[in-house]
Amino acid sequence: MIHLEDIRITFNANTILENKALRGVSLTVPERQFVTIIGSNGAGKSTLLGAVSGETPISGGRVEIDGVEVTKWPVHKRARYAARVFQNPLAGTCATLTIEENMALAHGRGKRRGWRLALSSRRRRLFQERISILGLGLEDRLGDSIGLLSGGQRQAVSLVMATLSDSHLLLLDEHTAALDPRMAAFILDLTNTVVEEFGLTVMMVTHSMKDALASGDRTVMLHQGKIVFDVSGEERERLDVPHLLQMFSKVRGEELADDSLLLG
Amino acid sequence: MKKLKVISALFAAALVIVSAGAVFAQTYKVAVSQIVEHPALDATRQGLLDGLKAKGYEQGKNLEFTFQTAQGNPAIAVQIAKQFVGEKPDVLVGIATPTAQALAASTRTIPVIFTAVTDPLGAKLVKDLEHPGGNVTGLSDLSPVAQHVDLMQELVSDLQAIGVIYNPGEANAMALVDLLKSAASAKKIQVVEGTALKSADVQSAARIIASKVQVIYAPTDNTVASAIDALVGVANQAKIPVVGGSTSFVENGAVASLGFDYYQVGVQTADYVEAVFQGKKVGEIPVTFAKGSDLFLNQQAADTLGITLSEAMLKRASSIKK
Amino acid sequence: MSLFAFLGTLEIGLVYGLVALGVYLTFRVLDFPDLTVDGSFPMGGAVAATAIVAGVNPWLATGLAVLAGAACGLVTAFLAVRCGILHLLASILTMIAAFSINIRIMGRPNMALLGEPTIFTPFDNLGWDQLYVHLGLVFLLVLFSALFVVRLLSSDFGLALRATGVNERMVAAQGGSIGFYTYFGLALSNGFVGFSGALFAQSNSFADVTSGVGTIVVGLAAVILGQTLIPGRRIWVAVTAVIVGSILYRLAVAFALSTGMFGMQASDLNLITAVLVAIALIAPKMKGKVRLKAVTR
Repeated sequence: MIHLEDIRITFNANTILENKALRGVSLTVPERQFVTIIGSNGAGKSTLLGAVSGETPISGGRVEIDGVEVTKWPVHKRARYAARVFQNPLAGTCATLTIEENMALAHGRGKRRGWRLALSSRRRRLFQERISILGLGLEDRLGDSIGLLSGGQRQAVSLVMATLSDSHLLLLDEHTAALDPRMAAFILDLTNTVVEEFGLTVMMVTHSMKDALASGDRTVMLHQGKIVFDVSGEERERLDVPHLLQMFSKVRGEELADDSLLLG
Repeated sequence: MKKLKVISALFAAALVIVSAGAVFAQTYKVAVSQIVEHPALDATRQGLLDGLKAKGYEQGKNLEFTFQTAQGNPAIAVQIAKQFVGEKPDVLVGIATPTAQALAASTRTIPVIFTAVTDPLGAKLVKDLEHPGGNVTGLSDLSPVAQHVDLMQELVSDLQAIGVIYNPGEANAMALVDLLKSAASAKKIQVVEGTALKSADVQSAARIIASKVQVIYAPTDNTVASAIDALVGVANQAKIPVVGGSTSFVENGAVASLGFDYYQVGVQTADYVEAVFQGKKVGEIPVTFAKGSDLFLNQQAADTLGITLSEAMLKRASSIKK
Repeated sequence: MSLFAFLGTLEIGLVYGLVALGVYLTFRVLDFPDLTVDGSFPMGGAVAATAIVAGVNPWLATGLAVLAGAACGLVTAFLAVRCGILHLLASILTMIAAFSINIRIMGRPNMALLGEPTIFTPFDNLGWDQLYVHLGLVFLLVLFSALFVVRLLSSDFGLALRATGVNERMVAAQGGSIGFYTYFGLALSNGFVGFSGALFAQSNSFADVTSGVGTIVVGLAAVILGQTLIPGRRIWVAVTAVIVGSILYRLAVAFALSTGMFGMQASDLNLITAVLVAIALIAPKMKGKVRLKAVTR
């Protein structure tokens, strides 16, 4: 479970570049819920994910994961609760290490890393088994450097890596945005399969309204650092992309109207 | 007549052969390891070479003279030592402390002669100056620091405080400063220290202590020697004299210097090398201190600072700069 | 080159192989340009020599030297991680501070061990040739150090250490503390360098503060030389390569020392060493080019 309470994030506070990225966001994601997060550029989507992972220091508010307050925890300490897949396939894997070494690194997430050999035959079997789900033939290439894989393949491995340790929280930051459409579709499918199989709680940031509605069971829209709507259940079932777009422009229109009122 | 010619020719030939044979039989190998190329140390080496020549050991004739410098790097000094020991020369010569130590550590059989080492006991090159015992002996270039203190007292009436600039990273300099402190404290004179790790720091170190002292002492420290001009400049501003441990400092504006001519140190080292050639046991040759320190004075600098050089001093001096 | 000089060169190469191992850990594994070694090498020698002269058991003294080296690494890591000082500058600060501290430790700039007990002493009295004994003991110590590094880097912990130098963001996301790995890596690296300094002092019977100057240059040259001539990503290959690189570097110096007969001056030594190392680095590439030309023809 993720519980965010009145999260405020201001970049470059008290300077000419001051930017209030999040202006009081509260969000609770219950166990096993799959939330998709949309919004225009600069709405604060990735910043919100950063507040959960700890990568973005928050200026105000409270972050709880599984009932533990982690507001002041550094990234690596929070990692024991949440796996992450980044937008840039290069960011989530270690290019000079082999596929199996990358997987071994992920296998140790949230555990004490000790003197034990990173690659035992038992672990290799586990990695082979897990990676074969992808159907990419990578199970025979575990010893290859991961830098040799395409971006899509690396994202696929990243998803498998996210399942190697015990945590059941998954943070996806536009993880299909850098891929070609075919690969993006494959990764999204894979995401749904993995989430289903491992019963994960997910926050997925995406810029694709279609994906936002097709995956998961709740959709949140951010605009100018605030949640402007939050749909789930039947209401969400009825939504389609044109509807969503309409709501989106309505929100923006109202905002404009508000502004003009203020200015007037 | 003809017979006589033949006989004399044979005789001459025989003479050549015999003498040539004698030369070949008595070619001595000397290997010299020097820590760094530096005017004083280079002069020592040249003095050694010339000193040997004066004794009849000439390079290219009956003397094989190998020389390497470690470029200031002790690890290379060690490599040079291994190289030299492997070549099995008759005598190994180490100029300055680390090279001598590296040689001494590399062999227990080949004679090692050190020179330009200030503190051979502290460097553990020998256990006893009179009876070195092992395969190592040599010549120390310990400055006559007590005489330097006397000289400073002669120059400055009612001397209360001596300033000294040195590099604490140089073993030689540290030994000298320790001596200075004990010699000065015996006369109830205070020593104010200024340290400079590199030549560029000498000037600022001198500025800091200049106002607290009546005279600045420049020891035979490589760092200070390289920046002696800067040191003299600061002293002149503060209107205090500089007294040095190396005679060359007078050229640069020091009022007085009492020290060695390093060429002569090298010449004296040749005595040790010759003794080894003659088969003397190294362990029985005592360590001695370099002799022949000369007093150099600088009348011009003294006049500028308003210091009178006493008649006695002028008489003693072997060189006076006017 | 005489056998004596050759064996002596091997020994110094192996002793500096530990420096190469340390430099490999910082520059290659952690991607942290660390100049601390110029201070931790003489510190290892200073601590070992001072302790031995004070009557401490030579092995214990060597252990203290390793700890002292590691402490230098921790100081650099502290300045870099905690105070946010640029890595290179942080290590330079430690390096220059170490110079003064080393003089403090010894109370003088040079401390001799001639006639003092060292880790080599018990073996010197067995009647074997001292040169072989020193070489053999140094070889064993370097071998154990290398095996330790290979095993460490193959562990869960070592894997995270290796990843730290490549992708910090990923390591953090996988629960690894970048700060901790930086502390550990620098301490380990400089521990090896301190170890090297202690061996150098005991094998050559003196510790000298000036012996640190240029340690980083020698270490880097060894790493680059070794990894160019023995390429390979596997850890044991890389570790072997950097130690071999260190020996090759010392051989280059030894050959430069033997070139006296070609009208070279003693002061040309550094130049000749540089040229020899450059040739060693370029030669394999030239060979490749020649082969390539032959193929294209």
